Amino acid sequence: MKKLRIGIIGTGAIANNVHIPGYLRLADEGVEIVALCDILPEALESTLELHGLDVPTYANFRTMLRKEKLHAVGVCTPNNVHAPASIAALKAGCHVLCEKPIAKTAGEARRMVDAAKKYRRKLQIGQHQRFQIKSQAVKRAVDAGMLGEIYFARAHSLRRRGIPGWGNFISKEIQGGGPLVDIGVHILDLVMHLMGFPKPVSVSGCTYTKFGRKKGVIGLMGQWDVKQYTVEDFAAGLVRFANGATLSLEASFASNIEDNVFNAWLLGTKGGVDVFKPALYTEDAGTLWDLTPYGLAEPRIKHPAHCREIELFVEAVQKNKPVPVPGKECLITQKIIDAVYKSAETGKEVRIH
Amino acid sequence: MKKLRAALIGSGGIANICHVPGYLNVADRVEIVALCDIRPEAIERTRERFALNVPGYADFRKMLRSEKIDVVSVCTPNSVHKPATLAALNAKCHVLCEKPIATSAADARAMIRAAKKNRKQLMIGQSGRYHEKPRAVKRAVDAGMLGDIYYARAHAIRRREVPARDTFLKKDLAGGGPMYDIGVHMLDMALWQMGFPKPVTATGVTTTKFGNKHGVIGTWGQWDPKMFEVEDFAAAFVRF
Repeated sequence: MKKLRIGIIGTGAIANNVHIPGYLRLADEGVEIVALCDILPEALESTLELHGLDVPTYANFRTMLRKEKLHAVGVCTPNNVHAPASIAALKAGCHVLCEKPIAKTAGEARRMVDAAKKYRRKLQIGQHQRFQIKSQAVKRAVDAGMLGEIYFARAHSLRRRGIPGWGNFISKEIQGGGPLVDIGVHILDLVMHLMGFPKPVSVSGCTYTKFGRKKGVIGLMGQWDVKQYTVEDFAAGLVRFANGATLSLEASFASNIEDNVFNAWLLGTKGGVDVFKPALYTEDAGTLWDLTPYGLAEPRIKHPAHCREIELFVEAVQKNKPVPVPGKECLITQKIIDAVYKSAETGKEVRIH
Repeated sequence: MKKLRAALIGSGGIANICHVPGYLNVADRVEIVALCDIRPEAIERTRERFALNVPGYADFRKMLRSEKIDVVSVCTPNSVHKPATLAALNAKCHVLCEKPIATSAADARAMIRAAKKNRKQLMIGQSGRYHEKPRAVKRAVDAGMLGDIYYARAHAIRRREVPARDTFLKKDLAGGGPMYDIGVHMLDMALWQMGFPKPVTATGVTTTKFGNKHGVIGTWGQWDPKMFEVEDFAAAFVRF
């Protein structure tokens, strides 16, 4: 198989936990990590050590892109660097697997999608929830018509006390938002994918910051600096689509609920689905049925969905196939996210064009 | 104290299940003195079931004119809530009207005005507020245990329990479908718990995906899909 020279931009947690291990396990397919980039020298040092890598490192991604002959780049930076790093990499002739969310704004996302088109390179976004075995079973059920027409969906990504105590997740400036862009985007992308990416036409949304700026709130994911907290800690929205369907979305870093929730529910004319139970509720042959899958099991590897995401990215590049999560789909979800914030700010329903 | 003289307008399901037994339960203070329904057989059934030996009327105006009544329960289809309540209030009766209050906000407003004008009580049958659990929650809210309530979710979702009766399915009788019939219970619950904040905008959807189809299972009996004129699903987002 053709050699694939990979560079990683941003060597923080997501690079070390999933991207680098994901590429390293594909060494037999000709995949090789050949350069790393991070603005923090200690992040580069610990990454080299953790994975036993002996490759050049860079503080500046433009220098890396100029000096190394890279085929593909993993963008694992904070959200505000997704667009500049991806566009620079695409322009340098690299295929890009960029972490979620695609960018800070739909405008940035649009420039990324345009750059991929212009430089004829692949742009995949790290929406790995699509590769969960349960999501894939539900997607097959949807595609086989088991749900009929999906007219309503509920997407929840809710934490009770999960404000991240590390990284840049509490900075509006760096991340573009809070739980909506960090964890809400996962369930939003999954639902959009399951619904076949209907065209959103309007959004009503609200955001609140009720915990992040308060001193002494329990942090089950570490303690953050309340003075630095500039994002929402709860967001909700109602999205209307051109096909008549509607989606209700909720995301929180902190809220007074019993348990964390990461799930989506679809209502279709033939069947309804609880995605991560998973169960399909239907009516057939004079009976109401609750269908549950048998024998669904993730492969016994660490981070199986992320591994699948990276395998499919590599396969798309090596065999010139379409990427499984194209940037243009994530541009649509980013428009919804932007509209939730705008609606929250204005108190009005926001049209999406 | 003198016993209150109560009359019922509409003696169908909710009257027989809740209102009549409810009044009989406080028989030391209330006596049922008249029944009204446009169906003679419904009056007969209610009389028999509760051994009530009281006059029955087909026309509530006639009943209100002929009988000496202190309080009226309005247990009619939704679209009759307004005319029956207005007539009762104007006849100087206090009114306990079933939920939903009416089939439009304008009708509801007219009912409130009539109560004020006649200086009579108008209460709506949002019975959910009298269960022990929501009362415990309300005490917690009022004691400040929730702090500032900034978001609420209110669900009243059935799988196939479609009421197989025209009064729930025909638009001109019911006003709407599950939003009016069961959604209003949870909406009232949420608003009551939240202290009735002022709503400023709502965006909503309604769909009819099952009711007008033939052969859909009805676990509460089979309805006539040709009669089904209301939504079978509704959702909304409300700002205060």
